[in-house]
Amino acid sequence: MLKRLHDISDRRKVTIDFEGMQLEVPAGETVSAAVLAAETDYTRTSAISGVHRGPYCQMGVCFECLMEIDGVPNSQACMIEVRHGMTVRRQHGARGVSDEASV
Amino acid sequence: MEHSDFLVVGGGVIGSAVACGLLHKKCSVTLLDAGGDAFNASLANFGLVWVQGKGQGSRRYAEWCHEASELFPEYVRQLETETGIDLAYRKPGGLVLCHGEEEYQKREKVLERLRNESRHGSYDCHMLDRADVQKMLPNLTLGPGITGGSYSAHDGYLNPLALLKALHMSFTQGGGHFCSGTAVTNIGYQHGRFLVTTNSGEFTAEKIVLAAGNAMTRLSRMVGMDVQVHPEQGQLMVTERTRPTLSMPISGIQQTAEGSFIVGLSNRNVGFNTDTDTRLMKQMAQRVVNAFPALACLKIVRSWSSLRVLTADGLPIYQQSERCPGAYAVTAHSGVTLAPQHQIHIADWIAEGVQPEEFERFSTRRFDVEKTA
Ligand SMILES: Cc1cc2nc3c(=O)[nH]c(=O)nc-3n(C[C@H](O)[C@H](O)[C@H](O)COP(=O)(O)OP(=O)(O)OC[C@H]3O[C@@H](n4cnc5c(N)ncnc54)[C@H](O)[C@@H]3O)c2cc1C
Ligand code: FES
Repeated sequence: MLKRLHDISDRRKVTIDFEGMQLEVPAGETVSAAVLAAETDYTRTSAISGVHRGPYCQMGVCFECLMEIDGVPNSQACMIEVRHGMTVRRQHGARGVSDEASV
Repeated sequence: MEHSDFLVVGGGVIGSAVACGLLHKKCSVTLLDAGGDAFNASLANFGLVWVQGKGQGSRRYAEWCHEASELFPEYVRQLETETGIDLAYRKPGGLVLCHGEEEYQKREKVLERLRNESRHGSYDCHMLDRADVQKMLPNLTLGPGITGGSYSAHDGYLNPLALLKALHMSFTQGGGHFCSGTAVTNIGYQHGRFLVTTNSGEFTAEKIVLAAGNAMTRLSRMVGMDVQVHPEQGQLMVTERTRPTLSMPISGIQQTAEGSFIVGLSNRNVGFNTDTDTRLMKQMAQRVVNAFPALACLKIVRSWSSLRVLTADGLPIYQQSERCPGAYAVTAHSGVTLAPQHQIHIADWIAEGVQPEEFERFSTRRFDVEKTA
């Protein structure tokens, strides 16, 4: 599985909630890096075929890393830094648009 | 040097449709396309098969678009069967939304005029009040400023990239010779034959069809025609994907089969320029949010601009050269909508001389009349 190249033992840590699991991760890391390092099998399912997908480019262009972050669907996990107390969920297929969401 | 019955110059949606049509006439056809420009209208358009509102002041053009929409379902079925490519074509009808009273009245007048100009008042598109528009769009609540809209059952949409890909595949599978990356630099005419010079060799043909989008003005002069077109920039934005929400295309807003919303309401005269303009994007996004407040939460993931191909009066030009008989020019504002017309009737005209009804209206001679009048 994926491993961090650097020793993180002396880095400041924050805690995020990923699908109910509490992960202790280095502050300043992206959500996608944090979730990948936790040996996650997948981070979203495709809106078209439903197959499992995970982060790919890690630089904001491929949109493979979409997750629900603090309740916001289709968030690019590779472009967002972890924050203490953050809630991260897999993105299952396409998001919905509801009238309630806008008010 | 390669010889064929027909050379078609321009592998956009118009040239490709005509080339496919000619191939069905058991002719040898070579399609030359300069390519390399990702902003060709055929690769960057909105994908509407759109009839309503078109052809004010030109009954024949309104009918021409309407006939195309009638041909479309069967046309798509054949192309999909031939190529196995899903064009994501749907024909649920289409809406134009009116923001405020003034837009409503203006739209009503447009439809009234089209109805008055149509044969026996048969023009088939009608105004809906706000409540009826809302009934047609059950998943999205209209913004408070929407006063109503117009609805036509003849409108539809498809995936324009899939259409172009399918046309290219159908052409090559059918035995056509497709030369991409081949830009025509000169066209000569001798003893009733055309000699075409390109950046990758010479080609000869009995007949030549020019369908080169915004390069038409320059190329048509090489065969003694004066087909004037100019670019008009249109800008599009694409949002993240959502579950199916918008049940029919709306002028300027549609949801693709994959779930993205495409927004595009702009036209600017800025020459051969495909910059995007953030102020314009903001205006377009605001209009969408005014129509459907719930869409404010969507992220825009891509945007681009591209160039429409416009004639002076916005109508198509279908013209044979008088100076060099056997040379034809084919250009139109709505190449997606008119694809079946180009593949069926324009190919019939070019290959067999069969002219559709009142065809003269689409020749460049209409401009001579205006000049002398
Ligand atoms: C933003 C936007 C939205 C649109 N939305 C719609 C819509 O919803 N519905 C609709 O029906 N229409 C729509 N249109 C219009 C439609 O896209 C065009 O009518 C159509 O694509 C024109 O096709 P074309 O083949 O004439 O031109 P182009 O797509 O411009 O293709 C011309 C081709 O000719 C080639 N060429 C040029 N010069 C040479 C040369 N010297 N030698 C060889 N090849 C050459 C080019 O490489 C190009 O491939 C839209 C256009 C834009 C810009
Ligand atoms: S991993 Fe490619 S956009 Fe995030």
